Amino acid sequence: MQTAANSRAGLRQSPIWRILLAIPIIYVVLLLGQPAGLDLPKIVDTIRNDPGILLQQLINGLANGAIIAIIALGYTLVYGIIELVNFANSDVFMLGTFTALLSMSPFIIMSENGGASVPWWAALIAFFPAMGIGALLNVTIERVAYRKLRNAPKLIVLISALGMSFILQNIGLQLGSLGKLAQAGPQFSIFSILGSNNAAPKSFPSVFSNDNLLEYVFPSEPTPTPAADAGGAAAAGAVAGELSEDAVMATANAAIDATMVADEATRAAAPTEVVAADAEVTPEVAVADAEATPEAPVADAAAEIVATEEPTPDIIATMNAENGGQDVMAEAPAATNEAGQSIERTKVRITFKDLLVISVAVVLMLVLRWFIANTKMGKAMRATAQNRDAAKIMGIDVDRVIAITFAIGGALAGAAGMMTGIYNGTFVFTMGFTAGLRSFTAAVLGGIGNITGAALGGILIGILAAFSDQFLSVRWTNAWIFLVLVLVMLFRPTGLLGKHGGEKA
Amino acid sequence: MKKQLFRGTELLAIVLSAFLALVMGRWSIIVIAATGGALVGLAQDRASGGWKRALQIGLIMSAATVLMGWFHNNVLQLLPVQETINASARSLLTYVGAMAIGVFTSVAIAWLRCLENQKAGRIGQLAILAAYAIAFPFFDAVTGSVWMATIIVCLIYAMQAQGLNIVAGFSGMLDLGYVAFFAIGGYTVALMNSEFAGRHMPFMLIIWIAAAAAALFGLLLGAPVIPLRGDYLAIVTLGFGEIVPIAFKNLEAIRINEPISAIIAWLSGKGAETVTCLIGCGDTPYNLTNGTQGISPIGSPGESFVVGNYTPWYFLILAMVVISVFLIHQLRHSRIGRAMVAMREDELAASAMGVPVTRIKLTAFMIGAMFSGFAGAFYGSYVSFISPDAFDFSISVIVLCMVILGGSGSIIGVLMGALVVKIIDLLVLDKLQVIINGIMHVTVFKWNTNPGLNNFLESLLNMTQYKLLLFGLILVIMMITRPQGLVPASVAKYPEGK
Repeated sequence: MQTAANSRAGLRQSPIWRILLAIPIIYVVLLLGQPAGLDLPKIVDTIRNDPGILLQQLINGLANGAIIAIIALGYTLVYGIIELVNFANSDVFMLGTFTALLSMSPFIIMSENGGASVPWWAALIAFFPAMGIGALLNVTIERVAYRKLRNAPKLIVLISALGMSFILQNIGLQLGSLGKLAQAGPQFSIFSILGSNNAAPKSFPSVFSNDNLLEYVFPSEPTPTPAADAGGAAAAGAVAGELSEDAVMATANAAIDATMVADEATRAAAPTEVVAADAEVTPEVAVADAEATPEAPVADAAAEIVATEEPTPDIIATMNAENGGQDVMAEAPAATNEAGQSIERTKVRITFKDLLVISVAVVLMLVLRWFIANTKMGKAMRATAQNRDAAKIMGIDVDRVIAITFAIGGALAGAAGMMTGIYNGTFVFTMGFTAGLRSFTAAVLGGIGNITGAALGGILIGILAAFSDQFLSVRWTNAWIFLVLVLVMLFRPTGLLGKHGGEKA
Repeated sequence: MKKQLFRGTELLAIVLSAFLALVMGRWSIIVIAATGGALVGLAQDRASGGWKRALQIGLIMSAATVLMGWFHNNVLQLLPVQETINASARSLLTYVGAMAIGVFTSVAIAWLRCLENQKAGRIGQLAILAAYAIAFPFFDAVTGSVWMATIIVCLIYAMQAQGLNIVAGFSGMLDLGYVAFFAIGGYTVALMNSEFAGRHMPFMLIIWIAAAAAALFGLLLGAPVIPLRGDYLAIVTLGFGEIVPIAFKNLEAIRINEPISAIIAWLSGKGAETVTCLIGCGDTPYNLTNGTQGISPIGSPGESFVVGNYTPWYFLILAMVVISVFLIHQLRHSRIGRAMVAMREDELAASAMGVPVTRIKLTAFMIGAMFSGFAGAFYGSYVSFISPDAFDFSISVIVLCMVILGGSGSIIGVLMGALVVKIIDLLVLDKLQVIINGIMHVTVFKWNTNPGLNNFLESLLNMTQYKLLLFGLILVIMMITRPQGLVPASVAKYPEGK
């Protein structure tokens, strides 16, 4: 009996067993993945016809992945030290975006066409309150909800973390109410950026232009496609406040009809119609508010994306596929993109935002690595992670080390929040949930507790999400990421770079 | 040693009853007093002083409830936004009734709990609860409090909470995607008994199919991840709970080809005719779930189950809950149930004693999913409409809240937790909103003339938007102060050698 179990366990470890197990799994994925957009011939054809789109999505994936990686660092640091999945981390990220927006709002310049923007130095300054509040929040959470439970069973702390996450989400919802203060008097005008519906997505002022940096390096004749023209018209309309999202969608549909060959039109129009229907569903959270329809800034943002023809299926948009206005934003660029595709190949765009997000992420990671490897506190953190009791005996103030770990994680989440705001231009108070799922997946994929692993996992998940948005189906992206999570746990629970056993008690 | 004045559960019963009476008022104080009395009674045992202590605490609790109810009926009633109260609800009968039933319930349950003959005591307690449950629809009809619809929803959640209690309470596995099985149950009913699907199967058959489907999905999900550690399981189930509604939302145009033949056809450059199509091969792809629009109407279980007539629904779900509670109670004391608890307490020791840990975990996971499937099946039939929006993450957390608040592992505690949490969620927050709004209207809004500021305050004080905060607070506070819950699971004693 015992030997049979042993040999079975041994078989399970052997590579042959894994390959044998992998074949049916791949087949099942190919079979059942089809409703979720997995159609290999179509995908390969798309890439063959237009290799630029692959490169473009790689860039988008890198930028979004950088943000995910920064959040994942917070998860992995905390997990490395006290073995707790800090659910609240991703809601600290959401509140970081709020903080950044509020600290930038005194500097907002409203342009003639209604678009809000801030100078670059204001954005730079806003990084500090975002990171500071993030750190403060995370330390407070640790003090309030986790410290007393230091020696309690793991699940008890996990439930406490879950509760904390919900509390923060509600704070985010009520922070949105500040937008109503804007009508109370001119002294509150900095809150007007939040809009009048507290549950609706908030728009973030634009900081950097959407200019294609490659245009400066390799200048070429700008040849706007008909789709871009139609999108521009839609944007103009929305800016003037004459068009609702449906109208924007209608214009986008028109663009599709105008530019696409018949069979492609039917293929692309089907999802777009459904999306338009979606937009009528009122967001459930806003039951109490009569004005639950997404408002002008959202339409504006959507139109902006349509206008620039930037195929950026941003984190937030895909995160909230259930939210009407968001869907418009997620699908509209894709639709335009498909439309443009039959005319000419995608021109690869690298904007300043891409570079900024990626470079900030790299800098933060390098600083973190240096901090952990070279400073005394970093050494104390490593010691605490290795053996908390032994560290205590050696005179390390474990409580302080843990608090500093949470502070670092919170600061990173705040920075990621700021970066999301700049990069995606819009956010909503529920975005922490999906961001948390994605970044936790990234941390597990890289090997939880491993900093380089979290960075690598974040980038991989970002690229996977971007590819899924483009080549599979934007509605199923979360499902694909979840599949990756399960497969990693099944085949390599220690992650790509993880060393220690997965069953560390 | 100093004698404790109030112990946690008793204090909470008093505060909770008084608060609920303050917010709800009217006839409801009778129901509140009965519930509070049950809680007080359940908190007693022989060591705490038995029925004598229950009499003292029950008196305090009932008095607080009646006082607050009186305050609501006579003072808060003057606020501008309240509905009017009919005279009988503020008559002496209501107050006396509430007082009597509160004291009676607490004393009776405490006395029964302290009986020498434990079996008789347990039967007596059940009889009291059964009497209340059966009397409720008549009470509701007499007083005209329109609570039936809410209570039915509460019972649906109570059933889910009982199922989650097996997973989280008995076995110590945190399942954060419990709503997925609820959704699977609901959609199974929709696909088996609706115009949309073109099938009409009898309800009594479908609920078993729904439960089996939920259990099957529990097995499929659990098998790969259950051998992993607990926090990984929590995240994977969280993801699963997120994915299932996404799948139901988007499975509206399915066309599945056999993948190998599709790849061969593509590589050889042949057209679509060589591809083997499996599902959705016609001109229009197969529509399984009707997307965001959902499926409606769903057939009802029988002829008397019509819209607006809640009584048959109430007794159906009541019967389902009672049977579930009975089965789960049997399970808890069976060999499997004891193995679950042993595993929760110390996995290593349990496996050393010969408990097949992985198999027991999977069993618990499947049985838990099954009860959620039952609940989902009833829910689908009851609301006669299923759409993916009804199954979001917050449901998983609400159900977890019920288990945590009531006492994980304690069947009766979880039942009480479910009723309290869901009643607060559905009834109390709305009422509280009305009262706070009323107070604001006679105070701040009167003095302050800035409409923007008033608008902001109204939005900030909108109690219905604080649900997430409430559930979050329940989880955090319970974990820090009383992780065993309001009515902790008693440590069962087994005779030696059994």
